[in-house]
Amino acid sequence: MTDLEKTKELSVSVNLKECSDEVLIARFQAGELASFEEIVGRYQGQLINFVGRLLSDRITAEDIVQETFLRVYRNKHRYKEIAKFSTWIYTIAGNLGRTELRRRKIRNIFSISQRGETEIDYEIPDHGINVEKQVEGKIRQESILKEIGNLPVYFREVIILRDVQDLSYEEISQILKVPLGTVKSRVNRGRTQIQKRLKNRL
Amino acid sequence: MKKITCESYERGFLEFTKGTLDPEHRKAFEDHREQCEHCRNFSKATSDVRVALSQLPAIETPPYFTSNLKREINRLEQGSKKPEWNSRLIPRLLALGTGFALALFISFVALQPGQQPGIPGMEQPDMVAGSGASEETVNPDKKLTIDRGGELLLTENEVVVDTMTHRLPEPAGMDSIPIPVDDDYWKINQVSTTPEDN
Repeated sequence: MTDLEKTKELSVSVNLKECSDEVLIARFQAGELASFEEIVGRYQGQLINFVGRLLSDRITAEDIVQETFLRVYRNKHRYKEIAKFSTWIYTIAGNLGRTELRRRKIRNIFSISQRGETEIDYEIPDHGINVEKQVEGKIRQESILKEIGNLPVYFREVIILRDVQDLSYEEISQILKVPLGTVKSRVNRGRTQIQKRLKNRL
Repeated sequence: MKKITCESYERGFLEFTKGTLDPEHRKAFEDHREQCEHCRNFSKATSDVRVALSQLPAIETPPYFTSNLKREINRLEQGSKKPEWNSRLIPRLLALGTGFALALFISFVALQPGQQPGIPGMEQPDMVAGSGASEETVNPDKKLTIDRGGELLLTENEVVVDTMTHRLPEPAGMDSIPIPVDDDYWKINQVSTTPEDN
């Protein structure tokens, strides 16, 4: 969209809820703050779910998503309409999420090596599920969430983006900057791993 | 004959497994599964995992999220604006002035002429020396006399004590000699007064 088109569009009162993401970011680039608020409204839930599942930690996910929006705000002029806006914002959130995971991994390695247990894989502690008090569906959901958390990061992120966020393979490929075939393969292998582990667990 | 893509197969997989597709679509799904290895693997691996994943409860966005974000953006905006010259300079000048006044006060209290260096109000150990005092007790048996001009006038029972180290001289018959702080002095005198050396 040219600057002239942007200006014309800004001059017309439009219902922001009907605008595409790309139009919203263009309006925001032209200085309309309400468009940014609309973007936040659209993406806050999706991104908190994505990062929250990736980290298995809602509180940190909120901080990361906040930082994602702040980066969009600060770097709004860096967005070019060569990619979908959703790809851009998911890439920012995903990068921040992976940075947090790396930081945690380093912290875990450090704390484990301090205990002299370098040969032992670090596992998220299993506090168990009280079967008697939970309905079957709830147990299954808990188990799946736990298994997602136990997957390697490169499987975890594609599974979340594909099966939880329902993004297309092409978009996942662009967000993660990996070939399409690799995305498909990771999705299948990730699902297979979850299925195997669930069979063992349930 | 209807043909579908891998994307369509996966998107319609739930309906396909539930058996809710119309016969034409169902046939297309079955044909695609026969021909496509990716979708065969997909079917094997995701018999129920994908269903379960898609039904996971969403993480609720907290109600304070938007207000927190707005606050951070306001902070960002304020941080990016350059402050007025006086809003930066005044706190610095105040801090500098306070520090200077404090340094002046400390030096005035601690280095007053005729006073021992130390904390005001604290009692000094067993001796006080100063140009203003005419006679101060060092020790019940010995006395230190200092005249108004600051020159030491020592008698046989008097001794000079180093006010910094509070060391008393060794009883080597040198009571009438002021004892310097310098350690070299001690070495020289010890050597010269040792019987073997003499």
